[in-house]
Amino acid sequence: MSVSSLLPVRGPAVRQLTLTEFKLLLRTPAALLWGVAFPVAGWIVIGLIPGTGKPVKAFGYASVQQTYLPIIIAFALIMSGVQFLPATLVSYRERGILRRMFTTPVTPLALLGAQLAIILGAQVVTTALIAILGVGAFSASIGQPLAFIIAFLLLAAAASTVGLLVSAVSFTSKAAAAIGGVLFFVLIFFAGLWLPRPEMPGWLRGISNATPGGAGVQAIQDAVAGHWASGLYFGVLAAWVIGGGALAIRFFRWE
Amino acid sequence: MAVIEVSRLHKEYGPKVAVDDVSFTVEAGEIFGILGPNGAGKTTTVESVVGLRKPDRGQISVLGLDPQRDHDELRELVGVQLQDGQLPDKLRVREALGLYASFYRHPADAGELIARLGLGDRRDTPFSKLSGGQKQRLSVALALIGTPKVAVLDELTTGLDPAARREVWGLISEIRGTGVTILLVTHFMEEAERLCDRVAVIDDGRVIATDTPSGLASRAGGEQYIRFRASAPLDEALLARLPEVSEVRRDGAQFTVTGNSEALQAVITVLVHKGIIAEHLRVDQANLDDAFVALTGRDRPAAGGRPDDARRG
Repeated sequence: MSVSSLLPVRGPAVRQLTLTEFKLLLRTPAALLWGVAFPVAGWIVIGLIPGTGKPVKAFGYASVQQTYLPIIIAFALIMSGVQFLPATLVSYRERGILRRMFTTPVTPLALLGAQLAIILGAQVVTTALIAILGVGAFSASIGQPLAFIIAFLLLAAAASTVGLLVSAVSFTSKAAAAIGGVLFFVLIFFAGLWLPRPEMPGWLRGISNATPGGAGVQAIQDAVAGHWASGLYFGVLAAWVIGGGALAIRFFRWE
Repeated sequence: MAVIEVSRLHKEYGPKVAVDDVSFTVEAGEIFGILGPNGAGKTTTVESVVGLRKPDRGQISVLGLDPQRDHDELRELVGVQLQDGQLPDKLRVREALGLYASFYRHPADAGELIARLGLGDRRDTPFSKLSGGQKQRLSVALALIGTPKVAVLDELTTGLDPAARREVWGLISEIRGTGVTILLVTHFMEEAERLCDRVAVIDDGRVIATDTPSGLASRAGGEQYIRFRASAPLDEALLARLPEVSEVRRDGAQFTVTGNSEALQAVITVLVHKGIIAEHLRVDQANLDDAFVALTGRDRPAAGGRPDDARRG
């Protein structure tokens, strides 16, 4: 199973794999519920509560909506990347599906690619729904759309990279669910779900800055407020993608 | 023409020698069995044949190709069903075949294959809702969807109930007619006996015999086991002194006579002469099980060891 044997892939196979993985995602209610429906519903609740569009001093004069828009997006991205992705990949490995693919002309790398594409698709849909609702129906705004898109893409990639790492170190589906579950809560805590970043004490925000959730939320936050975040936050996200990706490649097992 | 040639294959995992010295040749169109107890090196052997493992020593040629060097070409030509292979729970039969069909340059017609493998009324059933036998048939279908020249089937019926096992055996017998060469890995004697044209018996990483199933059975001595209940008292010495008979055991009126192919005639002649009727008469031939015991000097692999009996015996 050399790396070169991982590369050649046929077009029809890629389409069929992506379509199949998409159908399987639609048949996984838990993933849709937690990764798509729950964040969108939570955002609707926040948007409908009166006064959430008004500036709050504790949030640095940002409104509740402006503060929670990035956090809800981070929730959706981390949920799908850190929980759903490893659950799927590890079960495929456990069932010998990745191994079986090595005996066919299509490498399991294509399946991994299809899986990542499907998850990114779900993340795009969820984030778009939240952004459109926020700007269209509520009083949120996205002042710097390009920065918003780049921050979103980097956070989505970082979340999936962490998910790949979880898949690499988990030998069983149960381990993947446990590790992914704990990591989800850690990451979403530092992203500010319970204590938004402006309210964090300095030392806690320092740690948060180094996590993908914290850096991602800040980058999206600044884009929402109308400016580019400091390059530091984009750098942190990129570092997670590159460093985590290298580790995942190093430790991932196909069987 | 030899389709698969394995010569002096050797593979170690750390200090453990999985395959010591395995050689065999599979001819075009035959069903070739690799038979042996768990841990004998069967799976490592076929994984090397399909290119999943790199042997430490030895040569392998499949359809004239090297499984390591010509992996990409070989994957089009060899269909593999791996041990304990599963699919996603919610993937439906038709979708699974459609998906795997897209992997190959010249796929078989998925609908036709589904019908041929008896899954016609299950085409929209998710994998998790299939019975054990149906899952295995689907797995065989996936191995055949690329119209391979060689199919490798590893532990096809392990874990299936007897009815499902027969179902899968029937399927393999049908495939035989299509010209696909099949390499079948099993630890069931009965399976090898039913399906295989030739069998390599592997034990402790070595081939200890290669022959047809009946050829192997005859190596066990071509013996017959004659069991009956004597209708009147009978001195076992009368039977034991017959040249055709090698062993007589008596438990009350119940006799078990072991002998060559003429032993039955000789025993019956004695009984008729004494006016004794052999009630509940049963004659068994030596089979692969006996051959395995004879070849390895161990208990049959499918039944597992019975240490208690051995100690008492």
